[in-house]
Amino acid sequence: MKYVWCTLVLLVAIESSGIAQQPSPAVWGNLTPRALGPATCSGRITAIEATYVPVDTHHPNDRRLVIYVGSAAGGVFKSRDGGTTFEPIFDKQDYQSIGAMALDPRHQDSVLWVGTGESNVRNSVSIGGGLYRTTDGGKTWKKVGFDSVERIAKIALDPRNPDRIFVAALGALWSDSPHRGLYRSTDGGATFERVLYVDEKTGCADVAIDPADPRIVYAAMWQFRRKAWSFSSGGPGSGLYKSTDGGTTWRKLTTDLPSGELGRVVLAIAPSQPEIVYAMVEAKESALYRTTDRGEHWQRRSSAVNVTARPFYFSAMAVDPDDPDRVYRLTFQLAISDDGGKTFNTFSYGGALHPDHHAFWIDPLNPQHLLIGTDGGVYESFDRGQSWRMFRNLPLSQFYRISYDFDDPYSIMGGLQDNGSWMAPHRVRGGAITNCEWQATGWGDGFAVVRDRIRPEFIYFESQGGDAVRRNLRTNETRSIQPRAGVGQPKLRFNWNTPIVISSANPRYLYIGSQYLHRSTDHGTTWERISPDLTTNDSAKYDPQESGGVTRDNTSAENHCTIYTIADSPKDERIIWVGTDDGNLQLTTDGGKRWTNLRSKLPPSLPTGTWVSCVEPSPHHPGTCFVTFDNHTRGDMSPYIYRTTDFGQTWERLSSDSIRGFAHVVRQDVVNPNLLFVGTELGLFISIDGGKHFARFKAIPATPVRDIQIHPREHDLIVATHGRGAYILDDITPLRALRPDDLDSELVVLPCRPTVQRFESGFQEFSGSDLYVAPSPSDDASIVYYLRTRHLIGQMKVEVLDSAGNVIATIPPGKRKGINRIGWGMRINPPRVARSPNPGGGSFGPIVLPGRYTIRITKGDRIATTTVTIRHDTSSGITLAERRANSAALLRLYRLIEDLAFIVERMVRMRDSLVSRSATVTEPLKASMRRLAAQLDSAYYTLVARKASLFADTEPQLREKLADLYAAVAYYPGAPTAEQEQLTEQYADRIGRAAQWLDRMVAQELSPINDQLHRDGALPIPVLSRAEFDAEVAY
Amino acid sequence: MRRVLIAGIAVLAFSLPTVAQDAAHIVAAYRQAIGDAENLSTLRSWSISGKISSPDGTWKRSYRAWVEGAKVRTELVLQPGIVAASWTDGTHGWSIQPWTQSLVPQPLNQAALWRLQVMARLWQNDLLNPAATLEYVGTEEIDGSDCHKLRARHADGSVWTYFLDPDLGLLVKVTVEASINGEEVQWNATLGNYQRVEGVLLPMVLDTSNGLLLVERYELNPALDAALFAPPAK
Repeated sequence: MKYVWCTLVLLVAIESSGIAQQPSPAVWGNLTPRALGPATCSGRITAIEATYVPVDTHHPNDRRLVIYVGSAAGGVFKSRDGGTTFEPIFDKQDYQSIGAMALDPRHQDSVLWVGTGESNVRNSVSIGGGLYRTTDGGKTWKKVGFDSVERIAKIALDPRNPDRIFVAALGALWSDSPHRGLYRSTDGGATFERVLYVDEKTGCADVAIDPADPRIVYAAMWQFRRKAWSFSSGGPGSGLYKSTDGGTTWRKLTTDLPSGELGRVVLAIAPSQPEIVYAMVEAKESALYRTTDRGEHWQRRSSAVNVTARPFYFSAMAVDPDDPDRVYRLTFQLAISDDGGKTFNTFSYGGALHPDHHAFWIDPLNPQHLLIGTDGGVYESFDRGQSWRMFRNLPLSQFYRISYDFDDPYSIMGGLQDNGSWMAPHRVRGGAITNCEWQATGWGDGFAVVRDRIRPEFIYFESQGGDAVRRNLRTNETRSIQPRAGVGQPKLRFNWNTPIVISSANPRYLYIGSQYLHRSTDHGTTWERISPDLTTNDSAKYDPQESGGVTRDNTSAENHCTIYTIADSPKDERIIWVGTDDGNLQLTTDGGKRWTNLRSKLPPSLPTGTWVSCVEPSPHHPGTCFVTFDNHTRGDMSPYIYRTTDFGQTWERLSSDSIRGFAHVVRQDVVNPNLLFVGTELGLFISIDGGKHFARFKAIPATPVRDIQIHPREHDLIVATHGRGAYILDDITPLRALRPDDLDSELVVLPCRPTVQRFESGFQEFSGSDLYVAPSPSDDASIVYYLRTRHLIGQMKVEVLDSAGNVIATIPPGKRKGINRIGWGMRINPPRVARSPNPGGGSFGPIVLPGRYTIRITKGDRIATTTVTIRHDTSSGITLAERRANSAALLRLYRLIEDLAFIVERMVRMRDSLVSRSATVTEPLKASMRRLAAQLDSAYYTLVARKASLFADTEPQLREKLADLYAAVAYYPGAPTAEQEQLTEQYADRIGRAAQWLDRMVAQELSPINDQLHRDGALPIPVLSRAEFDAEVAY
Repeated sequence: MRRVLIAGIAVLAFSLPTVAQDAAHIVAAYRQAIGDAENLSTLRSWSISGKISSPDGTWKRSYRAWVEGAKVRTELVLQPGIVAASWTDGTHGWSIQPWTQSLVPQPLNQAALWRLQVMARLWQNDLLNPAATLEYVGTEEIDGSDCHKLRARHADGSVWTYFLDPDLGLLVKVTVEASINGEEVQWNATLGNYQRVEGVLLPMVLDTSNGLLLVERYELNPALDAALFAPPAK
């Protein structure tokens, strides 16, 4: 009761105070970004489950292959058709990083378990936070628990009693955690108990249940830890365990296994002979081990690199369902053994199959049929790995950074985790953005990609560790441009994800960061060092040579004490901000002559040494800068977002109440300084009040948002995700206009950018269902408004008015809570066409001319107005005068079509009336009426085709010829041809003559009939007037 | 102040998720919201006329529907004298599709017949006389606002989900899922622009899987000619 009373008081307080609403995710309404991919290179796959599902009860032998794909940070995708098409089914959940999946063997068509948090614990791996279950094939999900478990490595269900479930909780990567270990449920997931635990540093990396005797369970415990500058695999906590009582008690297996500290252990039981178990054991001398007595004794097998490589990253192995000696080990390549793991054939696929493998499925009905999940998507083989085809419809690409150019259409470009660098146009003239629109520009792991604005044939990209390259897009020549240390100079330290930046104030300047800031004014050919070492230069943190733990591993991923973010002020090229991965925030205001380390100025709310993930100098004020900090490498997932307005002397922390996930990037709008965008590990967040409040933009899943750009010419928001590729939110003008006070208003009309009228034709293509296709931006004119609540009761409509105040279109409105964006095709209503057996003949209206049009929105008794501006496409090659000529010609034809429709309607109604009434009269009136009806009928078929036919030519009459001419003039927006004008005049003449003939028939033939009817006391045959025709509802 | 307090209490009564919900309460709120539900639930026939519209409103055609039990007929005027029609006598269905340039009625396939029957059930306000037990299945955000969710599993295997606005009590959206010849089919309708017709609130806009329907007129309990639903003459 106390709670109720307090709530009432609160309600009253809100009612009386008029406090502006805080934005909720619903505010962004139906603003929907376009997901551009790329899907052609896809992204990292972490789990695959597949099963054959009966189609229906009427066809018991029909089966379909249902495939579930879990990804590194892009959620779960499902195919119901063996991979021809996929749909995302996990987008609404709080985490998109997938660690493990398992189908319930009793309900393979419907029950799927998903553990979040990838267990391939590379430096850039995302995070999870729970175990989920669907019981309806992915339509709905329930979070079962494990909120505090950052990573789930494996889910194993007892095949005989799937209510017994084991969950391998690997846990936190960057810190100690008490939530690790192996958990068991015996009640279908209603409750879990931890049955195996070592310590806060050791998680459970694998679990396997003996299918023949489910009391026997194996578990791999793994001690591991990642820091910003090192990784450690192995330690005293690691070990292989066995239970013989269903997981209640455990015994560490050591016999025949390597002594000393172990690293990660990967398990696989032979399904056809479960006493045979394989274990890839990471140790000082890593090797594959095999037992034939359920783990009591082991034999050492292959220690080939492709069997033992990178256990922290390659943790999958499988045994053929029928052949216990056929083993598949997934590492850089798919290693296959046919002799129980003694030897492995490693196929070289010649580039057909992306390296780095993590997930695997063997078709139980046909073991030649394989699915494999790699760093670059899912592949399928029907010949046991000899050849592969890729599913090019999974947009799971993982961007690190993104940029744009100023072409028209402009392109976006960026680098992808293990998938090089790519660029694609943001729209395609007359078409959509398919896989083939994406152009590879670089290799390796891709990061920054920027286009030179002075010499746009140059594009700069890099692979890991700052290996920067300049490509000439015209000739495809490439040149290494990475700065090198001179003799006797300190080694240059480049971050895994090195910043390469073109100055926003002076496009001559190209920057790259090592521990120094380097600047080039000759397109990367030479570099000038314009700073001292800007990092902490802590030698204890930049020697990754020994990183890796039990298995040494150094790919530059642990490079530290490096520059991570660079930006100069759009207001002044001399003002440059630099952030480092070890917590230094550096500023120069004189182009690099003097630098100030602002580390000591940062407020105490920020842990010292926190990685600076983004510097964003304000485009509005030279002293203002926004900075994000990312402390997740020390186990702190909090978002840290700060603003200074005095060149870093003082700082204000922006609200993080509504922000989830550590922060990667902040951008300030180039027009409205209060409009901010923040990308975190768990999505995109927007503020319209300068950072006092943020609300998540849910149209993008909770996937890592690594970079954000605002295209200054097109006003589009470009979002780079590390799991679902690139998104573009077209035209953020409405967001710029939305004020916090507006949120309390029932209806607020918001402006849009002017709409450029485009007349680009599409293409004919029949490419099957398996293409990933992203739409180009809508060509419609946008109308945008905000509604405080859903409109449900009473009328709501949106009308378009021309300059004379005439309503030329009525558009069905959006009625959702928040921002509604609806489109107007810029056409007036189609003409009324003459009655005919043939459909068609003018089913669309002409497009209006460029200009300003009034939009009137009526919501109940409220009316709001605004204007939309429609612009001529100056790039089209057609002049505005030609457009006007086209419009005039089209409107002339439009009127002729309606004139003909009136004549025909008048004629047909008169004919039909004469025919029906003639049955009620006597001769000679009957004969007169029938004669006139016959004359009208004959005339009618000189105006419209007599028959309808889909596959054969009809005899086109005036109606059909007029429609054909109307379409021809409409499809080209320029001036009509002389022939078209000539035809128009000829058709107009025919219509005029038809009208005259009909008037004559009325005067000379119908009048005597009507006179006679009148004399007989009957009603006359009605004659439709133009006014009556125009007043009738069209169709 | 008193009005505010009453409003506050009302908000507490219907808001999410302060009060435990069940299907009966939500249906009761719905009945109250639409008005004369008793009358509505006894109707035997409906006639609906309006327009089918393209999403941007620049293409509209006259539409009519007649419903009587499981019998339905819909007509779409493509041009003067050219009418597309679909109808069912409650068991079998037919259609005339002039865009094939034939006016000969053709039997409806199972999926098309199913869609027609779903539409009929929706017109007859299935929520008032549900043919299956309604189950409260929580809330879901629809168009920016959380809605109550009721689910009915019908004997034919179809699953109906109703989304109701918690503040106004009205039906916002309906989704129907079924499996037809192994194909998972779904039919959706979002309802809006409720207006009072003969004492009850009825939706004047229905954005459905069959198109965007702008209702201009409802006739409740009209006498319908049996020929509307009759099988085509052989």
